[in-house]
Amino acid sequence: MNLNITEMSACQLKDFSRRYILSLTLEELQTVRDHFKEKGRQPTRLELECIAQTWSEHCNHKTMTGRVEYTENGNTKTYGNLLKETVFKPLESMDTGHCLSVFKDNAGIIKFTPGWGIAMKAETHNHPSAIEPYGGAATGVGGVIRDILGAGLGAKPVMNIDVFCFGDLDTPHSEIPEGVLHPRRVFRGVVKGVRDYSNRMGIPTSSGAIIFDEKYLYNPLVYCGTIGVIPEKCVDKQVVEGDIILAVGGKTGKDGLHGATFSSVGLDGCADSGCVQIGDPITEKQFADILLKLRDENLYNAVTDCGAGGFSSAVGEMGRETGAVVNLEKVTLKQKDMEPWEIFLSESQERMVLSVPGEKIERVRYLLESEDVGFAEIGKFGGGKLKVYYEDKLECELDMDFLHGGYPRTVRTALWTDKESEDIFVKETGPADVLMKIFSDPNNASKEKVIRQYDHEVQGSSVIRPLEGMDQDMPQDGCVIRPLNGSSAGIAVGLGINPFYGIQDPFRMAATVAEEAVRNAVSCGGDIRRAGLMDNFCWGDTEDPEILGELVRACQGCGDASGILKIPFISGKDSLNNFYSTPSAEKMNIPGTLLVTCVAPVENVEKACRSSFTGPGNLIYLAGETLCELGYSALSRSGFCSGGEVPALRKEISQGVLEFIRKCIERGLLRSCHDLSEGGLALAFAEMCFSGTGAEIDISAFDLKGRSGCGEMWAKLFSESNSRFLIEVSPGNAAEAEALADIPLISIGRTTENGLLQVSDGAKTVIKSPADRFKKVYTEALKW
Amino acid sequence: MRVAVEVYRRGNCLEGRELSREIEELGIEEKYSVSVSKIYVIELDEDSVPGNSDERIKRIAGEILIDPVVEKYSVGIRSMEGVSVEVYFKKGVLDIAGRRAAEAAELAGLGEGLISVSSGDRYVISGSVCDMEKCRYISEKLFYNKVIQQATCR
Repeated sequence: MNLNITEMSACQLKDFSRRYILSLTLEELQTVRDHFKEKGRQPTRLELECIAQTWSEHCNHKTMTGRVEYTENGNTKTYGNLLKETVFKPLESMDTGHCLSVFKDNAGIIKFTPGWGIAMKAETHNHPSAIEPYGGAATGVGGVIRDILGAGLGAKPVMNIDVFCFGDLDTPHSEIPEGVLHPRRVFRGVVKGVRDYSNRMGIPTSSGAIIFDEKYLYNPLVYCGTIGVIPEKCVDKQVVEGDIILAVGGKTGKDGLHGATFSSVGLDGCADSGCVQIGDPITEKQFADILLKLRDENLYNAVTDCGAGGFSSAVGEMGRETGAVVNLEKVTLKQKDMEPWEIFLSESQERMVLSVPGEKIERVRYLLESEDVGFAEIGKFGGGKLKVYYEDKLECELDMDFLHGGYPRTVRTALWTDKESEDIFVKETGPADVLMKIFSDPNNASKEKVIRQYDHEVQGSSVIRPLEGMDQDMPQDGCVIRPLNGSSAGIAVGLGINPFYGIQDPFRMAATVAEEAVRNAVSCGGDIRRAGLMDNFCWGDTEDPEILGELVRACQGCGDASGILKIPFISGKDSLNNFYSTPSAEKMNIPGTLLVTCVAPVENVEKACRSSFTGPGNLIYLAGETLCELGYSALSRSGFCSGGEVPALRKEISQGVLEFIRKCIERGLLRSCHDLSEGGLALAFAEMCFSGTGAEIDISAFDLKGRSGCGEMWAKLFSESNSRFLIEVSPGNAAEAEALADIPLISIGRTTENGLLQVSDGAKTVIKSPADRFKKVYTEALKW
Repeated sequence: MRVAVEVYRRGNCLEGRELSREIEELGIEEKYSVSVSKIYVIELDEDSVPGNSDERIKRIAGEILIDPVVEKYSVGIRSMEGVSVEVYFKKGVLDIAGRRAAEAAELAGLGEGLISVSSGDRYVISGSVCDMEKCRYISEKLFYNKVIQQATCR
C-alpha cells in the first residue's frame, strides 16, 4: 500500500503522523516527504513505519546523542553529542584495558576471569508496564535477557536485576483518573510479572530496589537488568554478505505493534491491546539454551534480539553495513490476516535473528529442530539496501544511509538555574522516634515480601543473597554470584538510585547515585579497579527546556563521577517522555530518575563481605567524613527537617575511602561492612544490628566536617554524605586496618551480645532500645 | 463442540482471600468473599475424535489441566451463589496458558480432533449485598485489564 505524502502540507503531515502513530517531528516528516519526492515516488506503509521506528526516540536516542544548546545560570554552551561530551568524556583519559565492549553492542562487556567476560545490560519497560503491569514487566525481563543473549555472539544470563518506581500505595481510588491503574495494582502486577518470567527462565533475581513517590502515579518505572558471562573469544560479531537471515523463537503476531513509537511519546490514558506484548518464558528458555550450543559450535556470524521495532529494527541494524533482502511470506505467523508492515514491525516476544553462513545452515536446522525451537529463513544479508518483499511484491526499498543517518539533526534547548538551598531546620524530637518513622516509610522498609517471590538460588551460584543475617532477612548493600563452575571468581553488583536529590540538583544526584552503586559493589567484595557502570535515565518531557536542563545536569554529574571514581560507563539506556497528559492537557512529569548499576569482578568469593554485624566483641569504625548534608534526606522526607543541601561527591575523599574498603576486604580484615546512604549513620547502624547482634556507638568520637547549620547530633546521625562506610573489625585485625587507612577512620563503638541498639553522644544516651523494636517496624511497614 | 472446564482449588483459595482484602482497600464497606478459578474452553471436532468426546474432555482436564494434588475440575461452569465474573483475553492477545494446554494435550496423545484451547479466569463474588454495579466496579479495578481482556458479569 502506497501512502500519498509527497504533496502534503505541514499541517497534513502532522495529522498523518498522529493517525499512523509514527511519533515523528514535523522536521522529520518533512525530511521523509522530501526524500520520496526526490525519488519520484510515494512511500509504502512499510517504509514509513520502518523509518519511524528507526528514527524513534526509543531506538535512536536522538536527545541523548543529539545537539543541545544548554544555558546554565545565563552562560550558554552547545553540546554536539550530549552523551559523548558528558557521560563518555572521562573514557578519553581513563585506562579501559578491562573493557571489552563499550556502548557498541546490545550490552557492555568487561573482563572477568581469564578467557571470560561479564556482559551487562539494563532496560526499562515503563509505558507497557503502566498499561498492563504483569505483561509489561514480564516482557521487560524477557527483552533484557535477550539483550544479553544477543551480546557479542551470545552471553549466558546468570542474574537479573529489577528496580521499580511506583506511586504512593495509599493513593485514594477516587483520585485515580480513567485509564490509569492504581499504584498498588501496578506494584502487584509488576512484581508478579518479573517473578514469573525470571523464575521460569531459571535466572536468579538477586538485586533490586523499589522507590515510592506520588509523582510516579501516572508513569511507573520498571527497570530490568541482566548480567551474563561470555567467552572472550565471542565478544565480537560481524554479519557477512550472503549470510542467511534466520528468525529463531516465537511466531510473529499483531501483539506489540508500534511499541517503539508508542514508547517515544507520553501516555494519555488511551491505549489498545496492540501496544501490549505478552511474554512466554518457556519459548525463550528453549531457544536460550540452544543458542549457546549454536554459539559454541561457531554456527553463526552475528546475532541480535528482536526488541522494539521487531524485524525492522533487528534486520535493519544487523544489515546496516551489508544491506538485507527479506521475504516476509517466509515468516512464521500466529495469525493469517497480517499486513506486510505488521509482520515487519511486530514486537511479538521471544524472537531473535541470526546471521548464518549458508554452509552451516543444515547443522543449525538440525539443532533447532532437535530442541523443538521454531525458526524461519527469511532472507539474506547483502545488496547494500534494505529490501523487503511480500510474495514477490517489493514492499520496501530503503537506502541504509538514509534509514540510519538521514534524520535531521535538531538543536534542542536546555535551561538550568541553580536552586538556592534553604537554611536547614530540624524539628527537635527523640532520635529513636525519628528512626522509627524513617523505617516506617515504604522507601526504607524491608522489601522481603517482594524479594521472597523471586528465586535467587536457581543456578546454585548465589554467594551474597539479597537477604542475609541470622534470620535471613537483613538487606545487603550488594549481591555476589559465582557463575562459573570450578572457579572461585564472582561478580558483585551494586545499585544506586535516589530521585529525591534531583529535585534540588540533578548533578549531585547523578554523582551520588553513581558512587552509591560503587559503594554497594565494593562493600561486598567487588574489585572496583576492574568495574563497569551502567546508566539508565528515565526522564519527563524533554521538549521542555527546564526538564532537558535537568537531564543535562544529570549527564554532567555522571561524567564527573566516572572521572572521580575512575570507572567507565560502558552501557546504558534512556527512556524519555515519561509524562502523562491529563484530559485538560496538563503534563504530569516523573521526577528525573537515574539508576546506576556497578558491576565488578570478585577475585575470590570466599572473601565476599556481608552487611550485618556478625557477633559480639568486635570494633565498629566509621570510614569517611560526615558533613551536614540533609537536603531531601530520609530525615527530611519523614517530616523532621527542611532545607539543607543534598550530598556532593568529593574528589579528595571518594577514591581513598573506596580503595581502603577494597583493600580491607581483599586482606580479609572486615567482619561486615555497610555503606552509609539514605538515613545516614543511624539507619545503617540499625540495619546492621538487625542480624541479632547488639551494638553501641558514641557519635562524640568523630567531628562533623564544616558547619552543621542545625544540632550536630542530627547531622551526625542522619546526614547522607557520600564516601562513608560502617565497618566491623575483630580486635585482632584492628591495627592492620588502621594502618591501611589514609582516610579518616574513627573507632566509634563495639558490638555487644545484649541485642540492644545504643547510641550515645558523649555522656548522653541518644538511643537505647532493643534492635528488634526497630526491626518489627522495618519488616512490617510495606503492605504487599 | 466447545466445552468449558473449570479448574479450582481443593482447599482454601489464598488468591480469593487476597482479593477480599483488596476489595476492602477499594473503600467498599460491605464484606465480600471471592472465589477464584481457571476456565479452559476446549474446542473439539467431534467427528475427528476417536471414541467418546466427553471422555476426551475428561482426560484432557484430568491429565493436563489440573494438578490433582491441589486442584479439581468440573466439566461445565459450576453453579455458585453470587456474581460470577468471567475474564478472557481479547481477540489477538496471546493466550499462553491456552496455547500450552493444547500443546501438552498433543504431546500426551490427546490432540486428535482438538481444535483449540483458550483460557480464562472466573471470580465469584459473594456477600450480604451483591449489587451487580458494584461487582462490575470491583471487577474493573481488580480482576481484569480492559486494554487486553474482556469480562462478563452475571
